[in-house]
Amino acid sequence: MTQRAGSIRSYGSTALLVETDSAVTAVALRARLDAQPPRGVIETMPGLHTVLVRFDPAVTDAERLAAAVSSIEIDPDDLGAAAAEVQDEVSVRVDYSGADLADVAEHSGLTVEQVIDAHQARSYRVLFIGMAPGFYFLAGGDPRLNPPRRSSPRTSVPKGAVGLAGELTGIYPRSGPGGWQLIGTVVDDLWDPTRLPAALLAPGTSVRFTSTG
Amino acid sequence: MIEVQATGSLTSVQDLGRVGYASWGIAGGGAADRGSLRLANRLVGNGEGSAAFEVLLGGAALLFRQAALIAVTGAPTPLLIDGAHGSCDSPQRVPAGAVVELLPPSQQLRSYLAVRGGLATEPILGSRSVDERAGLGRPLRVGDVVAVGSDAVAAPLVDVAPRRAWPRGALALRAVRGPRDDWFTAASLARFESEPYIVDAASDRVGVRLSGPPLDRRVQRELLSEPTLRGAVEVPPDGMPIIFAADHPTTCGYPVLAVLEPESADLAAQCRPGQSVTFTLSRPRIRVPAQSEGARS
Repeated sequence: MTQRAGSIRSYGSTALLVETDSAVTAVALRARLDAQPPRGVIETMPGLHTVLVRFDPAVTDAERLAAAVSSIEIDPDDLGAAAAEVQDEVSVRVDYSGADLADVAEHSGLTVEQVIDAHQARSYRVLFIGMAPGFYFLAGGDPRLNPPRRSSPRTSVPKGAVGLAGELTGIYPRSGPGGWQLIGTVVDDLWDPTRLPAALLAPGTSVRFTSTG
Repeated sequence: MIEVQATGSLTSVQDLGRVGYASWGIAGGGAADRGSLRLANRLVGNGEGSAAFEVLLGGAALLFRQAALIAVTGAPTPLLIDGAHGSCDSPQRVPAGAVVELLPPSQQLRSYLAVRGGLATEPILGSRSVDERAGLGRPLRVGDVVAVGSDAVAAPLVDVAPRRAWPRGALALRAVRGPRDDWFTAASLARFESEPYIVDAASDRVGVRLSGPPLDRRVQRELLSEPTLRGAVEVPPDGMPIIFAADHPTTCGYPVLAVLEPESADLAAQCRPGQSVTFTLSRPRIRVPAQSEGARS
């Protein structure tokens, strides 16, 4: 079933921030805008439940673009060419020994073993890479895993840490501060800035987490 | 060819940056002060987006192995061409074998030195801009040699450009309100528009940090990470705003109170620590509620 964009707000004088009701709808809206860009669009940028649309004010204006965006019928099943190209599911090996496993288990009403099983049971999809270069945002896992971020971020999380925040799984590219609930660490290096584009998991890739045990 | 003999604190090659790599975590990047880069290129007859040197607080020395036409814009730096004084904001001839030195400027941070033909370093993802945060390229080092390209598109017709005025006191920045101004208390919004903020020393090409009256939130829930742009004014939990600069993160998890006009984002990137700034907010042109909400109201 198709749906429409949510609220649309000016983002300065050269962009619009468009809200959607889910991460998948945001991916679908962005795919649609990239496939058939309204006149004057320079680029689209991904957020979790948002898409930022940059435009050239010499070619279009905010009112015309907002009208074009709000008329789009978004098909959440059509995630676009990028997703269609990436057919193969990639297996990502995780050492499930994160510092917040017990907290995640308590929040979700599961045992630690059940949390680890649930994290591997369903396929995730790479939404985009953001925040820091190399930070992967993935969605689509078991809905029982939905912990809040830590009330106080850690000053340092290990390189390759796998964290949960709400419905999302994130993978940290390098050691640094972070507020997600850590459940493990990836075994392989998924971010190599000397390789371009420097992401080993492209946006749209299906990912299945597997245990090293 | 141009040989780098001194770099000062930070000299890098910059053009107008990258478009279309946000989903890979790579921001627009490019010159911190885009207007000054464009002007330097126009003065030597290049396309506006040609690559040039961005020099932080002077201190750069460049040996030109070939004759060249150059222009220096941005932070007004005393300019020496083979020891003789040259002029900023004006095309200047450099004989082969001459050394061009940029001395510390009296105000602002970054000067742009464009060379007719543009700098021909290796492009990465469609741009020659160095983005240290994203790991794309690296700043110049002593001994680096940079080739001159063939980007000239026109005869250099302008002899001198008017210098951008820089105020003695507070610098006025213009911004569009939102998209998340409704997450802040009315008192905070009033403070943001009426009281000056001071540029903090911990500012760089990623962001310009400000200190001043803290901005308190009305909405306390977590923001789902949103895409962001140069010029966005993000407010972390400590209430001290940060203006995103060229090498900003591609998404942010804190609400954006306002977004600077492009010309003001250029000015913000030229502010030294201790500079006082004030904000004038205009109303957003678009604020369309969600369509289901619209149907209910």
